[in-house]
Amino acid sequence: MTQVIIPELGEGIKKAVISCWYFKEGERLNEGDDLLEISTDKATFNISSPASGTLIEIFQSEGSDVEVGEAVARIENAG
Amino acid sequence: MKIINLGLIDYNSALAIQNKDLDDVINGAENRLIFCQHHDCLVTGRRSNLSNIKTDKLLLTQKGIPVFNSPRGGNVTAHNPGQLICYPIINLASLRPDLRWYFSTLENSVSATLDTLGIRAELDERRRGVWIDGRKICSIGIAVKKWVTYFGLAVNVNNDLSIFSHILPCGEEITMTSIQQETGKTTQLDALALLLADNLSAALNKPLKTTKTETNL
Repeated sequence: MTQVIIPELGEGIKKAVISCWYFKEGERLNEGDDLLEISTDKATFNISSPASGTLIEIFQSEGSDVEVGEAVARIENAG
Repeated sequence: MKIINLGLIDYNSALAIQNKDLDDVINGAENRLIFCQHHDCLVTGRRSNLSNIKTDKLLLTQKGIPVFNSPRGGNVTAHNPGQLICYPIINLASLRPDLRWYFSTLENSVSATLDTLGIRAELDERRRGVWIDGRKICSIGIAVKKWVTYFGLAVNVNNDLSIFSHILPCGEEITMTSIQQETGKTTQLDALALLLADNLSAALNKPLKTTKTETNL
């Protein structure tokens, strides 16, 4: 199982909003696929899937506030 | 650093070039600065509220001002000829993966460019962009994919600022200004683009090597 974590975006940036998910729960995805987009006031940032497998659960829906370091989904690894 | 000058180009054509260059840089190609001007248009970002467009869409259509949605950050802005746009396609992973630093780098580069024209700019991290005595001269909104940036900044140079009357720029009641308005002079956009390219390149800590100039502005 691999968790999807909101990465460090830069000094002093602690929060963002989930703009959209590119995959739905239950869908298969490959490592490196664009998985979700988060946004700050002036930037959008695509987060890639950290693993290949199945997107088992999304913890935070579109429009939710999230913090750097927070787990927002989990992936059941392929194989 | 590759410098690409697209001249006056419609929004969607520039977006297609930008997306192609984004993929190229993600796949290891050289960082680049794309300069251009757009025909009259309004462009929304991810934080846009449609109420920030004050003019009815039908009226905008009659005036020949299309509205485009973009995946960049920020709110609605306006583009028109005489405004210098820079879309830096930069791999931050190999420089410094820090969006705050990147925003400051863009703003400082614009500020240094304006300084050579005798315009003293103000920067405020709480209100991104570049300001002159509370008037906004440069708007910023970016997107990042695999730590490669796209979209960027727009500097009002000689453009007709009345286009901003159709929107609340960045969602606020703010006054826009331009280089022409501040100096009373017309500035050549191609020369300004090269100056900004020099400043951006230096700030991004990479030597400037102009490998390609596709057209003049």
